[in-house]
Amino acid sequence: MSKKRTANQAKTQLAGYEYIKTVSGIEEYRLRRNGLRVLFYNRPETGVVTSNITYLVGARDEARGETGVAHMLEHMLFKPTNFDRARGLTDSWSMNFERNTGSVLNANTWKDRTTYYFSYPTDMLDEALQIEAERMTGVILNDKELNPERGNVLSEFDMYNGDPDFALSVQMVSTAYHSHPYGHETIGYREDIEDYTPAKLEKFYRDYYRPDNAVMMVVGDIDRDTALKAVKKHFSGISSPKTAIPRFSIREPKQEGLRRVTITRPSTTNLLAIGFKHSGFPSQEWFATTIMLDVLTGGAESLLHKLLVDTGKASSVSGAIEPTSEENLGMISINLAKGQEHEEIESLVLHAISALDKSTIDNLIKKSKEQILTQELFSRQHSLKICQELTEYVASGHWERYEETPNILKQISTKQILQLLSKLFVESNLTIGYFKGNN
Amino acid sequence: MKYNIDKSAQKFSLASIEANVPTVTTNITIDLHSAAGTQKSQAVEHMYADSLLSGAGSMTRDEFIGAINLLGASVSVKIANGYLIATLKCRGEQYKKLLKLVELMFTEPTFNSKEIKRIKDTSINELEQAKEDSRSIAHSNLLNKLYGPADRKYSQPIDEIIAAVPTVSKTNFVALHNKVRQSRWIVSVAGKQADIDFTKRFLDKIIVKNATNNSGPHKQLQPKAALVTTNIPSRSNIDFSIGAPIPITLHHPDYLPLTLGINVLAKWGGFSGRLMSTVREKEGLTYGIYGSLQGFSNNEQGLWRIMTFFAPDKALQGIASTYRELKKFYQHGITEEELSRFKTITKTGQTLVNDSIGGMLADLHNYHVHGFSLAEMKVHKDKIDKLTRKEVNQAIKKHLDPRQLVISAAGPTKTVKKDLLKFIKGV
Repeated sequence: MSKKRTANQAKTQLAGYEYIKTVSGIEEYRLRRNGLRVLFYNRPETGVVTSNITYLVGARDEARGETGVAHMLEHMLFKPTNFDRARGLTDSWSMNFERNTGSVLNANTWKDRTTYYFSYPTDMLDEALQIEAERMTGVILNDKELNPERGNVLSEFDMYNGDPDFALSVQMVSTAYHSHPYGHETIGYREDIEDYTPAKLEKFYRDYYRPDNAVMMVVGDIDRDTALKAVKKHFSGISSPKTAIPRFSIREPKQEGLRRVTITRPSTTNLLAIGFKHSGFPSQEWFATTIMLDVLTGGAESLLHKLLVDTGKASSVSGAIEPTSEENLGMISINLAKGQEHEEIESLVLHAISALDKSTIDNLIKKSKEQILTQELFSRQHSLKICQELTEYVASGHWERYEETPNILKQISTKQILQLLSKLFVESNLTIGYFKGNN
Repeated sequence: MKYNIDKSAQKFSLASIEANVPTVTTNITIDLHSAAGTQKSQAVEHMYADSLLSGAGSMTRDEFIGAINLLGASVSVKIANGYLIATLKCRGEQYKKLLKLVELMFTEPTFNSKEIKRIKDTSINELEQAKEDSRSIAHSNLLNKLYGPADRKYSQPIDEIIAAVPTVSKTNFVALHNKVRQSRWIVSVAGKQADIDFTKRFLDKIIVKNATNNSGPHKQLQPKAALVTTNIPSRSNIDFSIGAPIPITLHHPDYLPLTLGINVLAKWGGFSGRLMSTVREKEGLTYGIYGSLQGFSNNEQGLWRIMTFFAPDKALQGIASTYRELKKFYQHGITEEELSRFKTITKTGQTLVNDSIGGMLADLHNYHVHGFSLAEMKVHKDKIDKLTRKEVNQAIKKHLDPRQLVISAAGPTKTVKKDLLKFIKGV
């Protein structure tokens, strides 16, 4: 065996782990005992580590009548576990950890995944990982724990639902998607939240919270061996069930023609939303769509800002696209100025988009790429942000593409953007929403 | 990493973090407060940032913004509470070019009439939209109860600012701009040594000789407990900003004890504050409830405030629960366990700042703005660890009486106003 090969083997071998690959300094391993995947990335001299566990389950795995259950479960993972009760704790160790140490602790649920993260001084790694391991299996799901937390989730729902933008986006996705579970927002419908039972949550928890459905990331000022040994210490005792992970492949029926939805509420706000279905992340087309959206709505130089905000027809324009693994609905949101009519602005916008040509957008595309590259550079100087971004790639099934962003962007051409505009802004791909304030 | 604060220049004070990073971040703060804010002056301040970015030298607005964007850089400018706050961010190799553009922006802004007309129209639309921002409205109404109209924290009513917008002319922008260039700048930059050197030369060029520190009027009031409401029926929740003045400045001996005390009560962000543990976690009355000290400087007195929201049918119960905790806090102070725990939390917070150059720079700039040297910064941070429970509880007893609180609410307040008034009377 060559010296180089021996050195590489020594570098990547670690008892109990199968080494998978290294891409730009990020190493992937698989815990042999239960299939837990681990990503490790060293950032020296900060004194900080972020550990982030992503479960490959989200809103897309929810059936009708149980929308938002993945998000509700996320909240429940901050409640006491069986282990906490056995220690005589009234609150959960995770919350006590945050309260006692001041570490950053939070979680979020999205369409394809649920993520929990801690950011803390390096010497707290062991405790953080133990907490994460215990709540993978030990969360208590009964009425006593569920009911007060359901109140918090309903407060969260009311907070979002009071916002006209959010209220309209809920209607937009449910109008755009008749069958696919991307057709409901992650927080779910209020009626479903009110009807959750412990049994519903328990089933979801057991089905999806298992090592072979999770990816643990450790990023920060710690050496690989220490980090991976700690992960193994806390997680190798958890078995993955022999049953298959429930996955549903639901094909959205073909959209034939434009779809519309209107909300009317007492308000002085008037919104126009234009939704368009786009490719999944992290395809090249997804990145091209991001650039397209930036050209249309990204800042003072963008086309719709100049068309609508600068001319006094709107107070603001914005665009949103989510990194989901399957086709999803991107959105342009326009806050109409007083006295403007939804129908007129809709017509103005769609006409302007259809008239775009190379000369109008060429320079804007160049600028958009430069902006995204700079933003990427900034976000990769923070272990928490690295984990947050990497999470989306993990959820898509292609974490290694995290490093490919600059190359993907360079390959996107003006011609491609023009083709995308023609493809995405046809009636059979659009959903239009009006929020009408009737104050 | 090498930290430095250099106050030797007459026109500016420059703090820096020299680091081998591929990016540059520059934070700029300029104190512009020199007189009471009128509707017109606040209208000008609202529009100034857009006017600055609307063309410079021979470049039109499109050309100027396009040039910044082509570098992949960002330039953000705003005026709030009498401070101009600007941030420059870009890749290291573009910094010199970015500074050239920003130099042009400050030395040769065009303020042309066509752009001024556009800015007026867009500003009116923005301000109309702001009338639905219940959280901001709750907070500005609170500040208006605690500070007189001459104070930097006082905001004129939105409708009056909107009415003043059409009266603004190029002369007003030029006057404000001259003030910006004649004031002393506080600047913090993180990047390589060459970037720090570029920044020094840039500042020297754009700030005029004999730059001055502005010293505007400061008028803190001492109102009795009161309720201020703004009814915004379109909102589904009621936003609350609850607070009271504290007649001390930043270097008063009570300031740090109060900082720790407020963290125990309602640490901003996360779940460790008492109010989050009770009002949210135990009682499920809100999604978030946080508190902080605000508005303290070397010569200005600040306030303490609690920020939260409740659904209308939970508002009275939420306020009652909040006050119950505030009374307990005032009467009994913090425990020895809490003292120790929050010292640990503070230390951890300092460690976490080191996770990014942006975090380190923000931390440095915060101290720099208040005139701290590096040594003073360290002493200030170390002082927290030496606080005693007695000091903290004495400061709480002196300054955080819940009976002095003003409750400012914005949202669908019509149905709860009577009950809240009754509640305040009974406090």
